[in-house]
Amino acid sequence: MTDATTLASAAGNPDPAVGLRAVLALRRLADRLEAIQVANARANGWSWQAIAEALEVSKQAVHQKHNRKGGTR
Amino acid sequence: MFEKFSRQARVAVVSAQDDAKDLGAKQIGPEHVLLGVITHAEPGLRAVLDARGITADGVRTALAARTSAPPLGADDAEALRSIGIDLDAVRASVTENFGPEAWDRAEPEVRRGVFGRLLGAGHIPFAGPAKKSLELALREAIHRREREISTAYLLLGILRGADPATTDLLGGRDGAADLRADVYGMLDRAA
Repeated sequence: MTDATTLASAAGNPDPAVGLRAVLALRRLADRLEAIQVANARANGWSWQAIAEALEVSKQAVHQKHNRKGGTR
Repeated sequence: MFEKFSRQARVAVVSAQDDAKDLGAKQIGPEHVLLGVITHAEPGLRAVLDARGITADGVRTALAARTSAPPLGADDAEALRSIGIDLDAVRASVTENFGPEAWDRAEPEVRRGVFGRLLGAGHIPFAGPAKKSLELALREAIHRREREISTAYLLLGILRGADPATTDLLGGRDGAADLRADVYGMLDRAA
């Protein structure tokens, strides 16, 4: 859909408004995918430690972020 | 200020906090206070709201619909497209592997600071417009020489604050004006 030149020019867009908005959207997307993948990993029996290592964050960080009351998510 | 609140008004404010949290809001807005007021209205105000068909369920549904779209709304999709990411394609891939609910279920949790975690999930702050609506409720009560701030005064404060997102829930500016007139009428009859 987006050709290589469009991608190249937009990714390094000199307009801070455009560039920063893209960063924000990326972060939101990353957060969403992280939640989905962590839930899936837990459902597959992964330990918090293993998930933390895969994400290269501390076990505490991943635990606090994703281990909700009620547990399964 | 809270010592002047009626019992129901206090319950409404507490319930606004729970509702805001349940709806995934980062702050308690006047729309959540409104929901608390509608849910816990004293009989006089209840009758006014019923007559206008304003229900807690209706407002809650409208708020839920509003908050379920972002983050990752149309603006995000466009921003992602500008760096070559097709959000629809990503969503399709997730849906294919994890089922249609996975995407929305993964709505990121409200981030809390260390103090927020210590205090438990219960603490999210009042937004400026929500605080303003409480102050305006106090002012309305003082103006009418009422000693107690009931849910009716909370509603008057919310209406006076005229937060656009909240006014929308009450049928826009005209709906809000009609409702305000009804509440004044109810208070006049009760006085």
